[in-house]
Amino acid sequence: MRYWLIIIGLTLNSVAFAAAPERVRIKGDSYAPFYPGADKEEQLVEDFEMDTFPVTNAKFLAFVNANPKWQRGAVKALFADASYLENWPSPSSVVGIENQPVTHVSWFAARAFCDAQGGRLPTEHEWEFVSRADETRVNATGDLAFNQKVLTFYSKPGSGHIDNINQTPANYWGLHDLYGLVWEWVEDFNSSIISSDNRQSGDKQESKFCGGAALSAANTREYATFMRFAFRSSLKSSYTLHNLGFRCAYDIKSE
Amino acid sequence: MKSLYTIPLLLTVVGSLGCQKAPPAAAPAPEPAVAQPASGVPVALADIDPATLPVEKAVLGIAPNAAPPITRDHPAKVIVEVEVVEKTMEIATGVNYTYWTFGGAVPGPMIRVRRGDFVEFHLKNRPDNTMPHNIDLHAVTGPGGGATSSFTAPGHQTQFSFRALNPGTFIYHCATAPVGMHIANGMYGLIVVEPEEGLPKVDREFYVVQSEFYTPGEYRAAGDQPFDMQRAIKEDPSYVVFNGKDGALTGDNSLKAKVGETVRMFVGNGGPNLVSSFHVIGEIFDTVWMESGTVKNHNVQTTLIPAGGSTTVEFKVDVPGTFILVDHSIFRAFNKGAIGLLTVEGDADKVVYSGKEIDEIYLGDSSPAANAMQKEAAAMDDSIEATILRGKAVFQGTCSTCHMQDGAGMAGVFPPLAKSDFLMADSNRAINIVLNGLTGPVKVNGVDFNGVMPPFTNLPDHEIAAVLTYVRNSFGNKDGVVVKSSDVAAARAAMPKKEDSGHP
Repeated sequence: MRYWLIIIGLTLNSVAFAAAPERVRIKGDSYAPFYPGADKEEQLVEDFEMDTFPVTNAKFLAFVNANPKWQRGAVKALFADASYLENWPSPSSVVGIENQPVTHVSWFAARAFCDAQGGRLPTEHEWEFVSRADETRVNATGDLAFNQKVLTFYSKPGSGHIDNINQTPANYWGLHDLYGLVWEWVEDFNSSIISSDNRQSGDKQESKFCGGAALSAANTREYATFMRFAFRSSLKSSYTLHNLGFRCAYDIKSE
Repeated sequence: MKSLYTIPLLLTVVGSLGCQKAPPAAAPAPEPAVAQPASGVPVALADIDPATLPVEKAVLGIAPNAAPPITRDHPAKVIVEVEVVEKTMEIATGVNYTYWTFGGAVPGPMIRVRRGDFVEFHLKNRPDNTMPHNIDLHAVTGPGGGATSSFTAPGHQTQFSFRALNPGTFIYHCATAPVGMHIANGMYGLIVVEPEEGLPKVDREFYVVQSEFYTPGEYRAAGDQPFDMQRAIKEDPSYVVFNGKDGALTGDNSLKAKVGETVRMFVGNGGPNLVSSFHVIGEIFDTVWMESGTVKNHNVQTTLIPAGGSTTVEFKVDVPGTFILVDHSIFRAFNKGAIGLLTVEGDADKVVYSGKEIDEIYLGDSSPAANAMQKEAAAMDDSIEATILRGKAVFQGTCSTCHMQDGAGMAGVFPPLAKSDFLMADSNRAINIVLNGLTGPVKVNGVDFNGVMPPFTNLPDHEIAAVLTYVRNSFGNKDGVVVKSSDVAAARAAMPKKEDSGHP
């Protein structure tokens, strides 16, 4: 059954996009983060909205056209390193890769894009909160099969090719492609201050991995989550990677 | 196999503890940390100015070839460049595994420097890789063994430098979270830090690293096999292998040496979990640099290699043949792949090892049932009936293995005793055959046999007499005469003296 959905998604991309809303509303809740804060176990995630899919090259091109200072070649080196949008055929063309998630974007660029949409990058808490869901459950992280599935995706070697968006069924919240396509920027990607050794104990702020990791992580078997935190902590704001994209989040306007 | 016993040197070695590595400030005074094994006198390293050192690029060793020995007698600035490659390769024939590697192979390249060298290390993470990576070299004195300074996102490269303070053979591995998974996927190798005076010259050097892999499918189960976290946590590997894959050191990939050569193996254990009981079948390690430290042990059969550790073994190959590297936790060798071959060519030395000299039938004679019958029969008199009964007990424990319970023998292999013209023709000949055995052509009931019956001099005279009485009055044979123990004794006394064949 799932295969059929995927095939339909592949062949009728535009139809599938039309069927899915641009963004979905996330009902916030308190949750236990992977790395609990020093003072409290639970963290409150407020209601918010989030893009259904990762931002595509086509959408990012529209943003670049409207904001030429974010064009490849024009962007300041401080805000994006040398591989910024290097996979685009030209600084103003995304022919052939329109529906692929945009990659080779820096944190600064991703942030500017979301700002232009009236949104922002999701926080790490928000991203981790929604990524715990599988198709039917708000939190599937206790399920070994779910963990192994995510882990298997993460451990695949990069092929150099990235698929179009809408590869995976919507999760509980209606979000697609949280896993399976690209890593995603979050607003506070380096706030965990993971030691680059990843195993040191001692300094509480750096006690994330190896012996220290087992002590401070909520669930030492969530290898996929470890990998996500490790990945984010290897980044700098100007980095642009072949497999790193983003999607935007939006505050709920008070009525 | 000459062995030189040397007085073990007591050394103060600053530990490279990886995870638990203490910051330098907390360690006891590290200054003259390492002894010179030759003199036994600790010698502190002279200060260097890295900027004035001669610069060279490290020549890396691709397993199973070791990096070339250091010929310098002075420190240098050595530049090491290692690229991280995530790629799918065969872990066994028809089985794919997604490896994370240093340098595109498992183990990663062998790095070789000299104690006191200043090493400038470059870690490059390929742009198409998925994960960030770093490197912890156990040869590094400093936080994380370099891991804190080498954390590298895909498409980036980092650089750090260290001075090689301690000689030895050290594991390096990726230490990015989750560290066990990065190691389990293949990210490890060896760095050798030679002592200033160098290592003793040998004829061959090999580079071998044991490690284990965790997959959902069992050993050699076909198809794509991903990393299995649950099995890794349970320490239940599907593969335990040398040099990263099933068969990396067997068949055409066997290690090769010639008779008379001295072989050195740098053997690491990447783990991530198991400790290795490293053994080479048919060889004795003349020298083991225990845990690749400075203390040498000699005449060792099997040596332990900790996970995240190594050993350095040396031995002279005296005779030709195939010598098998195993983890002597032997089910790993037999069922999970922990096997490598060292093929030695050259002339045999029959004194050191003869090869097979004798291969002949050995018949156990102590089945419980036969023993019970023998006891019973021994209590009886020497009438023909009682003798036949005692003889039957001997027959069942000894002769029936070949001649069968019913004396019919086995067509073409073992001649029959039943209705046997050969047996019945000559009682004394039968006694002599039991005592001396019978090798070569013989015609029984018109059928030719050409086999080997071993001698049964181990049987006492009265048992030989009894068993012959039994067979000459059973299976359709009817002699009606008791074979006398005294006749057997006489035949035994007349036997030609010969050297012990090794057979009872």
